[in-house]
Amino acid sequence: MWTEVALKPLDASKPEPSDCAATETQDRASLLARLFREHNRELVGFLCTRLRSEQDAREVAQEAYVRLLRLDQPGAVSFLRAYLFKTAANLATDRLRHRSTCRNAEPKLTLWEEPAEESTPEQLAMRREEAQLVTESLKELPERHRQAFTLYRVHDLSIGEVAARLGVTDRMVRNYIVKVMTHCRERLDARGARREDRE
Amino acid sequence: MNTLDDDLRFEQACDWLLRLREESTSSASSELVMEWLEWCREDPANGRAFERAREIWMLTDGIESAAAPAAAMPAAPPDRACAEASVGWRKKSSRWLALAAAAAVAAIALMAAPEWRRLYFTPASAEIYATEAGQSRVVRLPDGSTVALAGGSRLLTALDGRSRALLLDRGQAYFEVARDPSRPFVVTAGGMRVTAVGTAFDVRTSNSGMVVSVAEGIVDIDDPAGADPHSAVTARLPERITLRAQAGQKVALNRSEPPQVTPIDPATAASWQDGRLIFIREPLSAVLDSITRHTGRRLVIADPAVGELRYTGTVFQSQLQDWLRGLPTVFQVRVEDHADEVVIASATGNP
Repeated sequence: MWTEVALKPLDASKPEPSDCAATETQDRASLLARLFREHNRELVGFLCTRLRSEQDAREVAQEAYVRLLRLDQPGAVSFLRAYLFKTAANLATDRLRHRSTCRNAEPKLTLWEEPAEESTPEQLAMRREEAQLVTESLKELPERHRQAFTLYRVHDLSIGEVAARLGVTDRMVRNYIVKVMTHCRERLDARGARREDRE
Repeated sequence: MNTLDDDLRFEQACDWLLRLREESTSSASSELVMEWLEWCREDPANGRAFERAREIWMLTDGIESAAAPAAAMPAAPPDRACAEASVGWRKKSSRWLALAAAAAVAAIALMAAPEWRRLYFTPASAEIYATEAGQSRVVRLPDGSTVALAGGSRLLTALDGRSRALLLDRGQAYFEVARDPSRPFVVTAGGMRVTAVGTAFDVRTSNSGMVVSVAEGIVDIDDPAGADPHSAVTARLPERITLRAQAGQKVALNRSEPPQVTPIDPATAASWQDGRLIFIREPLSAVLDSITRHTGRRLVIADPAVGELRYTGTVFQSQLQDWLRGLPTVFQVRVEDHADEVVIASATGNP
């Protein structure tokens, strides 16, 4: 449930602008804490649809919160929520663009290193197994479905481009993609159920 | 066993996923996103269906081998080079790059598939801790980490089942991080991001940037945002580069200079908690700012040139008055002691 709370705008004519700014930032920090509590899962989910990994999505989400905290003129909560998602979407676009053009960084000093990601061997094994199952599931579907999904997912074509390539309507392409996703889900669920039976 | 209702919901979730992806980011109409949020909130089952849809979406990141069965499913372990290649790959890439990327994409998909159950059952916690100048407090976070917050500081924490993000909005804090490799501990301060896994370190913000002192373990410092016109306090690092600091190192970052790494005694990283403030070649403005936060005594610089002077030494909070008296013997300054503040002015300027 969202209530509209207007934030105190910064007013340069006030005699103590620093105190005013502090109060204002405090309010915004509370709002951000609330936004995080209520929306972080959705925000990361949203970013995952655009980015290549959940790690990326989480980083971009954090970045978006920080941007919000630095806004000069924030408005009502509903604005902040919309702005959070919009900022995050823009940052995601920037990240994809940046990564695709500047991949070959200059030689680095030994002092500088890329951050490492950690995952347990069990998690990795499980994900590998799931990805394998998804790949197999795809092979069980009709050629048309596979083509549509591969063009969209792997070759990064838009729905419209896939439709033109296959000579079908946009609507059909959507149906194909949803069908593939549904099939993968059924296979993963079935395996999950088998695994629970064993335990 | 799925009910018909579940199936329909999942299809709707997939449909939302496609629509969200289509949404051109340049003209991001937030209405669609807000509509989608409403849908997720209408019924918790909707939210779960979407979570499942995007989980499967992420898993399909490595499926190229399905379309070309001759290419075996890549089994290479995920490594950093792969991860980097995968995120950069778009449709205009050359064929070999596409193949290499497909392997990498598969690897990263394996790493990135969410453990959604854990995500669901760990409640997110977000808090704000603030101190007035001259006071300090120790905070125990839900993950078991401890934060000693210095005076005049504010810390925003956001912890959930998969990440630990903290924003040191102003001031200084010493962190003792509970080890949890699956949830990186990330502190953003002065525009920089400091990442730690099981370590102890101190972060101080100043008006020109930030300083990190490492007591134990290792931290990575990087620049998350790129140039940010909104921020007055943003240090800079070359983009996409991470500076690694280890126990016994102090890293100072600000807008105008390259990063400075100084050896320190690891035991002194938290010395402010004993009333000792240690500075190495720091602008006097940052030094005075820090003293003000810790002691609550307002120290003000009358002349910007004074703020640029470099100070190295230790300030004992209990002997602040002596330190102030000694300042004119070190620098060309005079110290004016008023009731509510101390003004430090250039001794060579107009009286």
